[in-house]
Amino acid sequence: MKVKIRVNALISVVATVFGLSLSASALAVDADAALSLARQNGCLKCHAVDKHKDGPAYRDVAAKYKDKDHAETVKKLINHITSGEKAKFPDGHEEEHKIIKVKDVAQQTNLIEWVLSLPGGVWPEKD
Amino acid sequence: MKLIRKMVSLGVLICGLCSVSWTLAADLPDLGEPTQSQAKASASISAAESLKKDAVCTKCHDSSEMKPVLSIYQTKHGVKGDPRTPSCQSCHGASENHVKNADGKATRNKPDVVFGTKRGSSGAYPPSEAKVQSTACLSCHGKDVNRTHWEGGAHQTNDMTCASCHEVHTAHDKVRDKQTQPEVCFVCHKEQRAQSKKISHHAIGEGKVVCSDCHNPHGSAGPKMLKKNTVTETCYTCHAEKRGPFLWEHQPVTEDCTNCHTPHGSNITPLLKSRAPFLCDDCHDGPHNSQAPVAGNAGGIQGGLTNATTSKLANPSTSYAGRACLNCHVMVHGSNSPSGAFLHR
Repeated sequence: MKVKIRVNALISVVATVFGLSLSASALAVDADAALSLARQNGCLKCHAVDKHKDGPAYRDVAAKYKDKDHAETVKKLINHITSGEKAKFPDGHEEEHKIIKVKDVAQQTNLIEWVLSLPGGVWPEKD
Repeated sequence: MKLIRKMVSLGVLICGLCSVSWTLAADLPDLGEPTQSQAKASASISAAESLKKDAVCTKCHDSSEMKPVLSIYQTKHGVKGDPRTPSCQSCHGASENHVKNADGKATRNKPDVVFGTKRGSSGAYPPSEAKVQSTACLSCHGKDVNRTHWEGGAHQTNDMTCASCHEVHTAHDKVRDKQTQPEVCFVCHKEQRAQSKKISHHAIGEGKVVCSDCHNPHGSAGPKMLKKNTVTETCYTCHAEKRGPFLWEHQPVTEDCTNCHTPHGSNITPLLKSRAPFLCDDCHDGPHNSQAPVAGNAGGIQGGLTNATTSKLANPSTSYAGRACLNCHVMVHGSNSPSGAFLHR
């Protein structure tokens, strides 16, 4: 009986810690600021949160990098939005990726972290 | 027998007429006039074509834009059932360089026509020349007789564009709403805004009178872009009782209302440029002509302080208080009374 109570207590403690850590990571990302930044910089002309445009949906990008090293992914994606590297369009032609106007690394990171936090995506993309 | 022959020939004639009209009726569709269903079908085809053209732009420029571009579908420009309404390309041009971006650069080439003003443009591209913008709008709206005088009008010559005042993509174009129109005009016409706040004013702030009730911002043949050819003609559209014809006219009234009134507001009721008797003195600066003067001190300059006989200090006559000259000359806009030569009655 005592063992059963201890197991239940352990489960509840683990669940609480897990929940707190999740909410802490959610709090770390300012979704409104990230969306506003994306809008101001015209990112949403080619990307959308949940649908495929010329660029992949943000939630599908999150799915693509879900199992990869997080720090490396953030670094890679910041480079993607600041270096003007070539981006391939659905019809095959390539264009320089738009360079984000904001130079503040914290804001750039917040944008990338927000993209990577989006749930419900699939990779490879369905549509 | 004759009667029978007549009846037979009449019957033949009627039958002939009937067959001719029936034949004509049967021929009607062949004349090329569309039936209701054909008209509906062609409208839906043109709507589909228009939406297909729009899709080239709305693929990128959707609800995520900083400005709500898709709201144009809530306006008259977005009524696709009407084949006259434009697609994006009708106004902004085909903009192939912008769409294809053959250079592959991060910043695309600007569309053929970018609307906005140097002051008000918040878009990624600088606005096109005023002439280019206006031409795009006038390609449809130039047919309206109210825009005949756009070229050469004060707004056109000052490099204003349609987008300086109008917001095409929003469901609520502020300048076309009586409640909000003055806000738009007063952005530039600040003096008139100040005047409209004075004690005596047209009910602009109250939303009853708007700038476009008197002015045609798209240009006119009259002065100050007035809707009518003259100031008086414009004022008479509302103040019809001042128009006359009168038996006894007051010349400045028929000449120009702004001889005495200032239309945007004044602290002297009713919208007067100056207070009587000084206002009247501007023209009537001789001795008072009345045989029975308004008061003992009425001689000399009208409205002047001439009571020097009884006192060394000049005292104004009580007759000049309040409405002053208008105490007696009540029919200042004109009189139809046979004895109203002095506009007394």
